[in-house]
Amino acid sequence: MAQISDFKNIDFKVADNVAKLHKGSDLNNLPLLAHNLTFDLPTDVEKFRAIYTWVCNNIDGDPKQDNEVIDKREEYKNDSVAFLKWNNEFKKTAFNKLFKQKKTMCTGYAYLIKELSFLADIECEIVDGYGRTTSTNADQLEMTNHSWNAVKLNDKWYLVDATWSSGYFDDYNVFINEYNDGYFLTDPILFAKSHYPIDPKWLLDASLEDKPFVSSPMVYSETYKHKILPVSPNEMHLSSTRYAEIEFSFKPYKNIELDKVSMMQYKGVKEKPFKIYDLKNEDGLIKFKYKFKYKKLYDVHLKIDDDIVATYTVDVSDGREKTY
Amino acid sequence: MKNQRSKKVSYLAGMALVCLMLFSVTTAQAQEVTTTADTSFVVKGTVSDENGPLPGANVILKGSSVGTASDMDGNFEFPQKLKKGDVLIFSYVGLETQFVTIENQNSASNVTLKLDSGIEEIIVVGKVATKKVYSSKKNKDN
Repeated sequence: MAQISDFKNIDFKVADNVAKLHKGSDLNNLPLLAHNLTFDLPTDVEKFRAIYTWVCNNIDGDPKQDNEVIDKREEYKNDSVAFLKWNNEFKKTAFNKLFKQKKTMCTGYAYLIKELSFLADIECEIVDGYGRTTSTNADQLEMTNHSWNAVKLNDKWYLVDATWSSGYFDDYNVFINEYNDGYFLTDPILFAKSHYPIDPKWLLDASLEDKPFVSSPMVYSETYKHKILPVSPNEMHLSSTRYAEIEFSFKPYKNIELDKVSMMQYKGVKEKPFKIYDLKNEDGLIKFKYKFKYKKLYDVHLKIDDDIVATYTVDVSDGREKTY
Repeated sequence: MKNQRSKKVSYLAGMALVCLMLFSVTTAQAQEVTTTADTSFVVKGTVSDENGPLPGANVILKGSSVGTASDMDGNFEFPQKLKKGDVLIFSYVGLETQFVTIENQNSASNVTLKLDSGIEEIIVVGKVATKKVYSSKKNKDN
């Protein structure tokens, strides 16, 4: 599977330092920027790494543009001609904002990654599709709302998401730049938990292409940061009965101490941990069990350290068969 | 004594050889200079877009940081002599970047940059990356 571990003998520090050296460069001369970021680096993956971290740490997310486009898509949803007309006008504003203020939304990030890669002789494509978040496309594919990139390195395609690597919007809708390495050359199976391309070939995995979209456990940027893949149960919404045992499992891509694993629910704003049992690491798969005691709908959050990395809902019934 | 003389001779012979080598090196260099002078040339041209001459377009030699920008009338003269096979990269914000392979001094006399088709349609989402945690209740409200 095409992922970052293919390059474990390469230290990205040099590439990251090249990117840091050019922090604050402007976007008016992209060919020059591409040259500066890459000419000193020996391999394509390092050249691409310098481009990637530069874009992630020098371009800010713009919540205004996000909202504006969403509003217009809603407004023109039955009139694609009017939308395209508006879109063409908006494109100019978006380009100006990107190049003058270095603020953009996902398509702008994906565009810059592609353009700088092209100038460094690296094959790279923009992939449009469904980004899955707590508020969008959580249960079904409702709206194409996101763009990311596929990049060809040593004749293999890899996936990256510069937008989600660059940072996040806080509660006041202010963009916070906080680089998350989890979206760089991510395992396609993990990537597909929150990225579903319009053209399924960009899933990069034949076993994923044949299956319909599954509403798998909700994942977060922390899931990518800790590099864990929820394995079972494989759906987000579960039904169970009281005192029935459910086994949970996930695959860590790097070593995780068992005492850092926990599961909890919110009571108001307070966290209430579940007493999970049989916690073990079995052949690289971390497993544990739990029995839900009450008849209710639980929101269950899996945690590594202080970070929530997966969410399930468990609808617990009292176990008596209903007769219709 | 005899030995010493032969040393002197060989020393002289060595010096002569070095001089000869130096001389041949300089001639080789001189030759190189003349050959490049023969095949490199000044490249000038005009950059435009669909609306006419384009001021401020970037022109850079591929694989280097040597470059210039077009003037108020869209004209440029590349600051370094170029040779056949060099590639110039023309770019401007919002327009498609163009590579021009240099054949002769007129290769880049008229370069027209097209509107960038890279962004066909802008697709975005509201607040993609937040730190919000999934909640059944909140999602039912929507």
